[in-house]
Amino acid sequence: MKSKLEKYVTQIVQQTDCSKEEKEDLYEELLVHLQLSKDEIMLEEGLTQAEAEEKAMQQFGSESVIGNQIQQSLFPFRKELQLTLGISSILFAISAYMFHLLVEGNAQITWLILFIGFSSLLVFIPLQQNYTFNCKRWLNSLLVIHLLTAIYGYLMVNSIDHTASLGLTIWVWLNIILSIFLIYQATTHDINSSYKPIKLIHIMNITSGLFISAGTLFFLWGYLFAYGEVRLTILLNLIPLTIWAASYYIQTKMAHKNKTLTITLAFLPLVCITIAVLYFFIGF
Amino acid sequence: MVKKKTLVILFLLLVAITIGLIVAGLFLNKTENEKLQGLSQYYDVSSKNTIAYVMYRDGIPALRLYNKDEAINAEAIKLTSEQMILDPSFSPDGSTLAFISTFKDMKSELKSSVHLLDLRTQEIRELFNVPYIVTEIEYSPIGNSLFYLQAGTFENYSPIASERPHDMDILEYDLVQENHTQITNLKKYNMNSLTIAPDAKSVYVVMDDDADAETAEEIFNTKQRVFNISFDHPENPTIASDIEREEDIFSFTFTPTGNEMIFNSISNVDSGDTFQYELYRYNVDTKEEKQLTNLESYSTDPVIGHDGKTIYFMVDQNFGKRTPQYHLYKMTMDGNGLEEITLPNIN
Repeated sequence: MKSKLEKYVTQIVQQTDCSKEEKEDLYEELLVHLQLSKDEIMLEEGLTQAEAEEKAMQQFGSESVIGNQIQQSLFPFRKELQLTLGISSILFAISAYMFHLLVEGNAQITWLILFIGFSSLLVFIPLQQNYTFNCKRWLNSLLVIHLLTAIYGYLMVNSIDHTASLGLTIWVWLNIILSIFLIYQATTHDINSSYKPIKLIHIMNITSGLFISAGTLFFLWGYLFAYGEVRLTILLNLIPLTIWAASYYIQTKMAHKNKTLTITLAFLPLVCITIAVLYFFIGF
Repeated sequence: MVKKKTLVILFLLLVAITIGLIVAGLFLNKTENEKLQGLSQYYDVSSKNTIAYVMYRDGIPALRLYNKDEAINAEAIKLTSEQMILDPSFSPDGSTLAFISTFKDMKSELKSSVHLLDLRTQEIRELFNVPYIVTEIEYSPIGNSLFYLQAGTFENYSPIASERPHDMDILEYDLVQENHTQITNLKKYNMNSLTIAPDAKSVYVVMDDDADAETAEEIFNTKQRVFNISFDHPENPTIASDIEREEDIFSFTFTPTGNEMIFNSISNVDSGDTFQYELYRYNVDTKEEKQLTNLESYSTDPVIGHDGKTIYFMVDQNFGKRTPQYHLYKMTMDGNGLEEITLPNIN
């Protein structure tokens, strides 16, 4: 059974978005520091072990504040950037919805609810200090969904023949760029600096993933435009994205075992994308 | 650290704003039928220079009459937002105006009515209605019948094409006998710009020159040309426009002399930019062609004024974008003296 001090340190560590190894290191460091502090208090003030533990924790500060400070020092500006993206997106959602409603007479209610919902999560998660939902996996999932709804918002405002459309288009693209930046940051920032290649692997995979996702969305749109209905063959459009996801998963598992093969696998989609883009635009 | 109470207030505020926006959306949302706005491309000019034009306000179509010299500025009829008014056509003497009413949702309500407005009495009566789409009507120069284009279906023949009227044919409605005569049995993919020959013994129409097209590639490469269809041999249309012309013709009209046609066609096919549709004049006898406009927009539906010296035409200044923005222009037969005609009550 964990002591009160151990539970206290665990609560602090849980609020950080570190890898398992980093959390273990941080836990060890904090626990040792607090135990030394407790021993010092016991010696100097003649308190019991329980009383000294309580005082050491009191002097160190509240778990939420300390956890937040460590998180901030490990991931500088993430909280601010998340808040900026969330607030900016909420304001954009309101503006774009009203713009579309007043100019086109279209009430995009489903999009409004989804975009305000996802944007609100981006605001509430850093504010309410619960890092259970601020871990990389949750945050990236939220950012990707937010990105998709933002792209739909771009298509919405871009479809309107109005001078205000340009301003809203620039606004939503700033949100999209910030969203993509946060995906890169959330995925790569906390990687153990002792093993650089995995950071490169993540960057290459996110880059190729963005291009493949954009291509998939384009072909899904083309499919629906051509056939006007959803058929089973629509799943064929998802093959490149599935291969990319499987390849990314395999790379993360074998990154420490076979560096050359992993980097080659990560590099391959980028080569394919470059060839496809050159073929599409230049038609060599 | 933000207090829990503040977060709850913030959350409730966002919920309230979202609900407010949803309610506003439910009130201000427009159906597809209510979205048409402003001047449409359909108009005609009478022998007395009265302009009949169709405009929309919140999707509700209205047929209006305007003649500055005779101080005419009136709304002839207004229909519901589910309907459309197509192709007003004056009788040769300018005393009556025929027009088509049909439904915007052509796929589910395949029905068209042709009406006649008596400009002397202001009375409107339905001439006939058919369970098909009537896309264009035109008075016979003799004035005792109406010719019209009828589409048998409204669908997309290819998955990548939009839904349009197809299976087109030409019919005639006798205003005295009140009966219909089918002139052609061609079931053409596309047919428009119906024009009756001055002798009323044949009609001119724009169609695909696809008589010899057999393969998919040949069909794809067919050109739209002006055809003459004789009432004696309607099964054998003959090409009336320049047979060598590389670009399609979309709409046209003949000059009163009958030896020249004014048509619109794409002027910048090879530029890679958005297509620009300009008006051209083509002399049937000399085979000479001259570009009349250079508005770099979408000039269409030319109509020759009664004096034979003025060309009226529509310009979509918003061409290539989501919603068209039509403006009526006029110019001389040489393309000079370009002038926009400001029609009242179009906004």
